[in-house]
Amino acid sequence: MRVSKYLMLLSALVLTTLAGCTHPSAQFPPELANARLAYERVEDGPAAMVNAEHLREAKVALDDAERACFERPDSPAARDLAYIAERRAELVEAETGIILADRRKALAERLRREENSP
Amino acid sequence: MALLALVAGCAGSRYPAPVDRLGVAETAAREASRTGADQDPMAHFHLALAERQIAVAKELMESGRNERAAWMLTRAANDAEVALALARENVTRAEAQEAAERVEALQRGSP
Repeated sequence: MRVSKYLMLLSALVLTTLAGCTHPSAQFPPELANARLAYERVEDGPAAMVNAEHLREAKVALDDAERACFERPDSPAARDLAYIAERRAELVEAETGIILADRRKALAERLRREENSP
Repeated sequence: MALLALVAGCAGSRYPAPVDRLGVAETAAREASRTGADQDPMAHFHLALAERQIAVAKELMESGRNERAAWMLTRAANDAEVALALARENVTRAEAQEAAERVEALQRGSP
């Protein structure tokens, strides 16, 4: 009984230590969390269909930021890369909005021409 | 001691002044402002960030911290791009809305 209790405590200690080692996100800059959220938001929207190339470029920027934050989490450059990655995702989002609004405008103008034709 | 200070000074000034990046960031901010970024809250927010970062970068350049200035200007250029895209998105959405309303008016039989 004492041995199993000891083993349980030891297992809990090992698991807690492993969790700390495998989840270094606590030391990542907040800019990286913002960049991840921004990318996930854009990835889930219409950008994947209508703005795929720029979405891929935003993913590259995020990957670069992730790598820098993992390798040098306290460096200003890592924070800068994460900041830029968030902006790249936001840019893709705005560009996608432009593309979709352009398509709606083109459709409306085509319908107007059809309405006006004899 | 004097030699160490000289070496440190030389090391700090090895990174060239990011004059080109300054030009790019300022041009992007001007373009965003011209496109009406001030008229949309989010676009205005990003434009204000860009302008602030450009100002900070100029101070960094004056104190010889060129590498930090270069990063600040890269941030600024990205914020200005977002401001410009948001301003353009607003314009395009408004145009699409107007076009849809014209079609609706035609379909209702109004001129």
